[in-house]
Amino acid sequence: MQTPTRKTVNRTPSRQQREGGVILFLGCLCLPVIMGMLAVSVDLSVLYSVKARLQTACDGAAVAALRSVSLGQTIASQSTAATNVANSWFRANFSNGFMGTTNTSNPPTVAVAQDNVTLLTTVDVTASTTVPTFFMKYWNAANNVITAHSQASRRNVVVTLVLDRSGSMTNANNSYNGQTPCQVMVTAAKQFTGMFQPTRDYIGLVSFAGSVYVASSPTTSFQSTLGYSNSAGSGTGLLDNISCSGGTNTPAAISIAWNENYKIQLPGALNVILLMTDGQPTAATYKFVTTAAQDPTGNAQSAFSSSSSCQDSTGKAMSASGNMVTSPRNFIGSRQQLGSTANTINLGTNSYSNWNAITGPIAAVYADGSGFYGGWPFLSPTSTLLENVGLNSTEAPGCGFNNGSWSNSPTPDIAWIPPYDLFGNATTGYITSGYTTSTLSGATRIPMNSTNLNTVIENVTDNAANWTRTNHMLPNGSTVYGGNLVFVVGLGGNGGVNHTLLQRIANDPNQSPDNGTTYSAYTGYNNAQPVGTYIYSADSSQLSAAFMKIASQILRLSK
Amino acid sequence: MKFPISLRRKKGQNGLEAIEFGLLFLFLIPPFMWMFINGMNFLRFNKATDVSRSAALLYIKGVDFTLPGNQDIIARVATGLNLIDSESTTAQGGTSGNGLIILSTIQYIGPNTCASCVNLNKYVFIQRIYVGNKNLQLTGTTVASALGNPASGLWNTTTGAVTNTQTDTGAQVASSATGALPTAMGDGQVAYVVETFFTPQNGFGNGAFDSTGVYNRVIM
Repeated sequence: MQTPTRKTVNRTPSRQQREGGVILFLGCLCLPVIMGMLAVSVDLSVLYSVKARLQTACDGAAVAALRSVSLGQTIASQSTAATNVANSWFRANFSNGFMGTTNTSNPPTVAVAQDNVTLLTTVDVTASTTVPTFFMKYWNAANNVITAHSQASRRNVVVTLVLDRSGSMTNANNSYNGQTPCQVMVTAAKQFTGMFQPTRDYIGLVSFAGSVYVASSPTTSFQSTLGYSNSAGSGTGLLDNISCSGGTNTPAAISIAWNENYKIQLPGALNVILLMTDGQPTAATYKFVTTAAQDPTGNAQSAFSSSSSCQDSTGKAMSASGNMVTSPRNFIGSRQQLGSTANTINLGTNSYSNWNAITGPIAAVYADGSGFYGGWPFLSPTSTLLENVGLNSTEAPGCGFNNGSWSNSPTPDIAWIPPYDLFGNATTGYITSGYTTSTLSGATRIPMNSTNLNTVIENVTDNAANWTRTNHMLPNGSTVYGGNLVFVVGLGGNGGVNHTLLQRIANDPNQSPDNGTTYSAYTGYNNAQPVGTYIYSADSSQLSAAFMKIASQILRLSK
Repeated sequence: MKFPISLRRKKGQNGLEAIEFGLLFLFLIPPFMWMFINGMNFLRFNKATDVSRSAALLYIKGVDFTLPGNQDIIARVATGLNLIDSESTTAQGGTSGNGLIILSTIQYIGPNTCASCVNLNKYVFIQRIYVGNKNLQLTGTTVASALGNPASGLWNTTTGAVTNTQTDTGAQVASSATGALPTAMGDGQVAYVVETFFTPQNGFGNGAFDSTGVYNRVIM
């Protein structure tokens, strides 16, 4: 065999001629392959675009469907609502014939699942569509079926609404659309409840003025109970019963609301307190005999003045010189709301242990510019009275506030403000000035007068909120009940709110959205506790939006 | 066995391949160009879809897009599309870049929300936020939301919040746009709408050969 060498490479002209056009020929041969690759890339790009759009539509449908499970009182009706809404949202995001698609799921498959262990509600949305091919059809692939799936889930929530029904909420100058702030608040609260899922979420209602009223413990039938079902108000719910007058006993309301959430004992749920108020707290609830553990002297002490002629309903003297320390008085009377045992406050089954079966003398005290007054700490759920009611001459004979009205003359009976309120919230705190101290009953104390009371109530409120955001143990002693998330709506226009206090209650570090013009950032927030949100509503017209914003945030946080 | 090309060529063959390749390329140029243009359009379209989806998911989870830091996040998602977020705390957007994102929160006002309001049975704006170039031009026209805009007197330029949503017609969504919104919105329900606009950038690069922009809308 001849070995090719430089000399042997010698092609004939005829071969040269035959080689002419070979690249063109080969190129033409490759052209179908090149064009095929281009075609495949085009078709794949279309498929990718449709897939992305379909996925977006499924995401939107799943999220909206999860929101819509509030539109039903049973699992079946919630699934129906979820399917309808999912289809509607899906259609809004994926129009018919998008990029030539056909056979798009109508409606998409929607599955609503409830997990009682993880306390999760999950919505799955699956949709498919057929995508035509522009070039691949010449390779026997005329259509491609694209499928997308999206899942949205969230935890159950336990929410107690804490609504201010003080007298300032009737301020006609702050009306919106012909409604007083009180009425606007009720409407906004109804809409808020309409965002949550009956049978899974729990919502309760605590309203407060000078006294606190537990209208409803958190319940899964909250929509019918509170008066707003399937986006329609009944007009006969407990929210409809709210009428506004009296003081602002914010600290007791916060404590009671926390206890209502605690009683549900769902540590895996998102536990939330939503406080709406339009002004400074002006009232707190006290027991006027300190315990030895709480008193700076180390001994139980009576806060009544020695000269007081105040008595309880059985005629026992309240004065410090009496023996009320060892012989409890029943200042709370027999009409207290909570519990059926006379003269004892029972906060209900599963209440926080130290707060149950509390005996008197207990009263809510309210301060204004002219003095301070006493009244019922709680209102009866069976009573039609939803205003503040003062202790009367039968319940508190001889006392300065015994005519059954909060507008009675200031009481001279109580000598000093107890160091803790009924729920153990300290009277002292971040407000360290603006009140006086004296040596009374063997220790340095804060004398009871309207100025001092108004000042220290801010501390009591702040400490009550701090308690709710702190982890505690459930009654079984082994399960941690996590701190509640606190949201606050502050309504302006009725005398002004204390932004700093409301930021502290919510543990919200943020400044006002207007670049901090309305209020500055709160740098002292506790990052070890749940960080809530404070929303300032400058007037009634913004209340509805504020409630809706919080509802949205709760639903987002529960995911 | 192969030989050096120079050894195999004769004088008459010089440049023959180039001519042949040139002839062939005449046929290849159009599909390549078509492919390039459409590829770029697809790229931008898909990227815009991703940006819209990401922005919508962040928006419904409560991310405050009035804050520059959060605008930066979505600007990074839109890398390559020249979305320039405003460097100040403002909901008004900036004046530069090739992208604009309009975020709107919409509520349906039914009789239980407000029985006797002028906006009864209407869709209204609760919030409107702009991220990016608010002066963006698309085919010679400044881009605008398909939903319309809340009246300037009702719109807080810092927070994006819209006031008097029940009582002022200026808060209403444009009637021409309501058909694009979900039909199953119940009384008081809200929807979060994210619209994105991206136009071609100047110079060679993404969108160098096309003149149209991309519009995308996501409702969650």
